[in-house]
Amino acid sequence: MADSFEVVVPDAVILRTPTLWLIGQAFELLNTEGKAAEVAYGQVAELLRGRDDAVESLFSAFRSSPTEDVGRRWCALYVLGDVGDKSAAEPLFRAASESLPKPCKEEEGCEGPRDGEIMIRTMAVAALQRVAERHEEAGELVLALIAEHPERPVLIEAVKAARALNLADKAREALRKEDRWMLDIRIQPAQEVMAQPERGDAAALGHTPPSMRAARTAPAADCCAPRKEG
Amino acid sequence: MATCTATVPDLNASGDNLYGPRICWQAFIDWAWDAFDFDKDDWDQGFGYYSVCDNQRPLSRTLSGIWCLTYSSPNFPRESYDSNILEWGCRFARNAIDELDARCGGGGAIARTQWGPFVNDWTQLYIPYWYGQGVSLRAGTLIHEARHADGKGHNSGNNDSSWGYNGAWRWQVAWLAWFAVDGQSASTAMRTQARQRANNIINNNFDTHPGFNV
Repeated sequence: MADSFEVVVPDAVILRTPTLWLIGQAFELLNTEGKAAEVAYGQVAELLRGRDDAVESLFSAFRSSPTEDVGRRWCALYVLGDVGDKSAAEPLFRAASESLPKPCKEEEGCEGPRDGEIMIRTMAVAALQRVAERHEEAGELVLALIAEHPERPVLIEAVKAARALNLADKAREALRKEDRWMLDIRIQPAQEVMAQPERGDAAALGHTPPSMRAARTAPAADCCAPRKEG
Repeated sequence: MATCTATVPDLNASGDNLYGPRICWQAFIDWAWDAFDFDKDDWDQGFGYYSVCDNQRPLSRTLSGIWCLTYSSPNFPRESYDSNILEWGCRFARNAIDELDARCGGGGAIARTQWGPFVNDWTQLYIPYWYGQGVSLRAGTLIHEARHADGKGHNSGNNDSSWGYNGAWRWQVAWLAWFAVDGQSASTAMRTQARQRANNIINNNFDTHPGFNV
């Protein structure tokens, strides 16, 4: 017999300050398709950079989000990378250096909570790098992270960040001897990253998907509104 | 039978406000239901069978992953195996996955696939699949599980020994990497997460590091 499930819808977040409203806009634009959204996101980020409470509010959004809401926590860190002044560096360093959950056991499946937390830690490293691009002194914290020898996926991102900040020599000093190969990791264009399908076009095509529906301008009925499950 | 609950995370940040309206399209739902062999008994009882367009429920969130897998290639409707995995990924997945089931799961697992002779083949999706990762990562997980459904397991615990093994991790990395640069109708967050997840897999799930990032 199959399982049963109940969805819990949290209370709507009330955006009590102009800064929180701007942060909400940033999250929405980051998750909207198209060039116009990218440009608008840049403008919102610029407005946030001018607000004294932006960094604190973003960290508050990061910390107050449920652990399972990886997307919201990730977005908060992403925006911090674009908005954060030097006061953001230390908390980003701490977010990047938190320990990771253990890997799943084989019988538990291939992906699990550790993978979501790696997304958070590596986003924190990327955000720290972006802050260091504007505030040179934050680069010291990238090196401090390397010196802490975090787990491999976080360490590699920190090494890549140090390289991008022209701190490769100092990173080499901070790295253990057996980890120095990480300085030689090359960035490969995605177009050269191939999976071998081990079959050709004679293989089954299966049910072919429908052509995309034309973009509509009229409102769609019955779309996405929560309804009581029968 | 297990009973479970989940709290809906931020619908913008997960990409469900972007992809949710796209899946609310009967021709697509009819196609996906057959192509991935969904069964009503696996998707009712709160999982969304009766409210397929509700992007807070597992069925809509699964269909968003399938939509992303299907329509993100700039070459759609071409699905040639002579091209890259962004183009043929959906073709492969729908033919490899025997049936797609919703379950509560446990221990934080995202998905599992059972395959082999004399067993019932299935792919099960669990709570963290819908509520713990964004839409582009859900599409990547479908590719990963499809590779297992095709009969290719991991050869070093939950890791692949090397890039050359051509296993589920490599396929997931390749799809995510291509999506990050070439994915259509995508947001900045969905692309960036795809690239980061690809690198995290490269840096965490191969015994011998392939020597590159994307």
